[in-house]
Amino acid sequence: MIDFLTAFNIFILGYFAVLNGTYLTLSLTAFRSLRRYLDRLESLQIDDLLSSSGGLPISLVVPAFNEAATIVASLRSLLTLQYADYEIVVVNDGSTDRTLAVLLDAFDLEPVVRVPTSDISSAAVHAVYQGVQHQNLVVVDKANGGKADALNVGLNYSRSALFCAMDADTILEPDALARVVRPFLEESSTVAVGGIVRIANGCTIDAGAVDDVRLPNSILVRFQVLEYLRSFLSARVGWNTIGATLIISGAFGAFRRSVVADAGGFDTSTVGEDMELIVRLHRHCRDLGRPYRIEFIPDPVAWTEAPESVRQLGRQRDRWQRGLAQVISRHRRMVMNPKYGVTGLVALPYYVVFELLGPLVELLGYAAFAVALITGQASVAYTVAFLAVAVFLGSAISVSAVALEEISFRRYRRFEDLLALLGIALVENFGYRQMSTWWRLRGLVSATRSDLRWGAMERRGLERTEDKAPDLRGETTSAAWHEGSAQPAESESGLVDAEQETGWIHMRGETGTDIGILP
Amino acid sequence: MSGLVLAIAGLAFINLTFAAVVVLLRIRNVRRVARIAERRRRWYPRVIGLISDDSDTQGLSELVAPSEQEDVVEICWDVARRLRGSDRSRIQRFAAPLLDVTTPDLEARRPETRARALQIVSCLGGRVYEPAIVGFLDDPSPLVSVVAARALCQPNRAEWIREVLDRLVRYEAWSPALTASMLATVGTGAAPDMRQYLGDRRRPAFARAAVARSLTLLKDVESAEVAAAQMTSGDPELITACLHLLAAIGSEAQADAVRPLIDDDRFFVRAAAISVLGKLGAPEDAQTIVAAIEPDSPWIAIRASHALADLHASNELAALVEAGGLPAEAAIETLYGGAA
Repeated sequence: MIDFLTAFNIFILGYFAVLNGTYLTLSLTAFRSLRRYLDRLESLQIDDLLSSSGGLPISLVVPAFNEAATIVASLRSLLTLQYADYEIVVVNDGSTDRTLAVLLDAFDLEPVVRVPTSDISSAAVHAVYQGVQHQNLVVVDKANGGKADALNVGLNYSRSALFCAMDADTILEPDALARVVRPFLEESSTVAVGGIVRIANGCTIDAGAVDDVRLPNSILVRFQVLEYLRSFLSARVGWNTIGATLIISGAFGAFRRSVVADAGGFDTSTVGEDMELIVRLHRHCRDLGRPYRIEFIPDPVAWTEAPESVRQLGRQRDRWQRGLAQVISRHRRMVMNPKYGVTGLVALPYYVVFELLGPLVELLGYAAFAVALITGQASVAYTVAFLAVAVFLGSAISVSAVALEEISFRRYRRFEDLLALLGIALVENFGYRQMSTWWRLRGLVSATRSDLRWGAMERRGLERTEDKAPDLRGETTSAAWHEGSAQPAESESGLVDAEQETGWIHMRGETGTDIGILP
Repeated sequence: MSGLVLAIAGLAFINLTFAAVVVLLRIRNVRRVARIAERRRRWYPRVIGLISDDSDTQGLSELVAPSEQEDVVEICWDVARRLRGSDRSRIQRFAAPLLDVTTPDLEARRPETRARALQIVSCLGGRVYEPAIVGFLDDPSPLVSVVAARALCQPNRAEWIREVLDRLVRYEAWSPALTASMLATVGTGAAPDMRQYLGDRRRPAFARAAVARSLTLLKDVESAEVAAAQMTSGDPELITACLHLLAAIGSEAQADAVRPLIDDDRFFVRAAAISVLGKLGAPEDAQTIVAAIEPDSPWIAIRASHALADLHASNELAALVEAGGLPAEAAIETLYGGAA
């Protein structure tokens, strides 16, 4: 027993060291990549690209469920984006409040006939409306089917070569579209691009735009701010460097429409539809032998509000972990499969070992450590080593994320905010990290149950009610998305590409599984 | 145990170092921002003043201290790249003596640094630097080459267009829309060379497709026959680009070249051909277009409806509406601008 405990403790120590070491390596890789990326931005001015009228048309797909309180302000903000050629396709996903009514009132919409250009299966569409004043505003009213289902409808009704999936309450910075389109211009094989999502709690929002960036007062949200920095600036930039981007946030991501439609659109039977789509795109393109790029870039910014209560946050993390489990289960054939390159051989195995199973190993590690302490089996050396790896190495990763922010975008201008972030990097190791691990373990357990249930009836239209963070403008909303099914799209979805590119013409969907991963 | 203590000390040191670096970075950044703001306060009004004032630019240049040269060049670049013609020339005259702070970066090892310097020099250096910029078209980095090409594609300045066209093959990865837009910036003076390029079968099809798109942006009527000749090229991307060129500038004379494509194997070629026939075809083509409609193909239905509208084939459109289904929806969308 004693030998087993000792061996297990050593295993746990090694596991933590490898996990944190990997993360630290990603952070260090991110330093170089970020510097290089910033230089590249400077080397070809983005406004030159825009003014050259060489930009690609893009459709913003905005799924909305019970957003009556905020949708008008959100759309007014979206209508002022600095981009030459874009349309907004709002998909009212069977809202039970006045979402459709306020849209009809505010934007002078009239019913139109609009032919869907792909036929990804979805819940029934009731009507399509178009703005009289704002001709680039289209509202599709449909039966409730869930966020993924709403995105699929948006995909069906959009007409651009690119589309941008986002949440209704996400605030895009005015130049976010231009920035997110840039990789599509610079590399024609780009199929998906994700931008950074930042936390708006504590910031001043004026006329639908984030004005003064500050850290929130809530310590819980501050922890999340640091997590987001770590996730986006360290992990995603790091993974992107080796071509293994597996997550593009559902809150803000741009896609080549034809490829997503050909791959079957968003999967309505998972709670992690954003990550699922990216993994499927990797698979789809590799299976077809099609050259492709999936990119994460850190300069297009979308602002979102983070949960402020422990309960909401716990549910969010539970859901993220469930989503991760579902995605990995669904694409398990890719894991360690050389056919899928670095995605199959490096990224997915990492996600299995450290992200999916991480909470389990981590909590067992804490328990074993406690037992070893109580029974006197933990030597001073082991105790110190455990704490060092868990605290100091973890903190180093977080501090490096703050450093990445400082060398790049410096959104938190106040010196006290910077010091607070550095303090949080140490404090988060005592309590918050363990809480996060517990939520993720809960998600893992519920995913196991769900998988058993869904194994036989994957497309049964299971309804689930999910948390949604309170809206940025003060309204708390909740979203109840249903799960449906998706069918492969017809293959002529490439026409828009052929024309616009080569020729002419709530539940928040974030699967942020690489955010709260640390022991 | 001593190894362990060392490791822990190392980890703690890493933490403290990172934190110290962050704080030092912040201090440096704050100072840098303040310095730039101060220089901007002093120099931005003077640079802007050059636009409306025939000031002694050389005398003004001499007022720039070596330590502030880099920042002043940045300000000049920021202003000049939004200007054209004589306004930009005044800024160039002021900035030219200061460019020696930037030109060394043209030889930098990193392509991003070279590209940035090239942008600044091409914007502020004027024509004197253009022969040197042509050399950067062959830079090992496609990024630098693209920046050079964009610098050489100036409005109403076609003298470098051949050099740029010769390097189009290097820009395969870039969006054709971007390439086409860049070429079109030059204006109609570049059209003869582009026409020749489009018709040159030794050139890669993707590049000719980008050129076709550029000619479309220029609405170059004289390229119609060249475009029609590409209908038999076999490359769908090129054919589609040329079909759209014909839709923009073609005439009935090219319709015969287009008609066979209505039965093409590739649906997007069919769709484009239908659109072009709507523009160039004869009234009797309406029946051919109706026959080409596929009940399950929204794109073909939309294109066909628009083509019928272009041919003023109201009877055929009305028949589509009567028939129901997807083609009817497409016809309604076309007829009533989408109004239900």
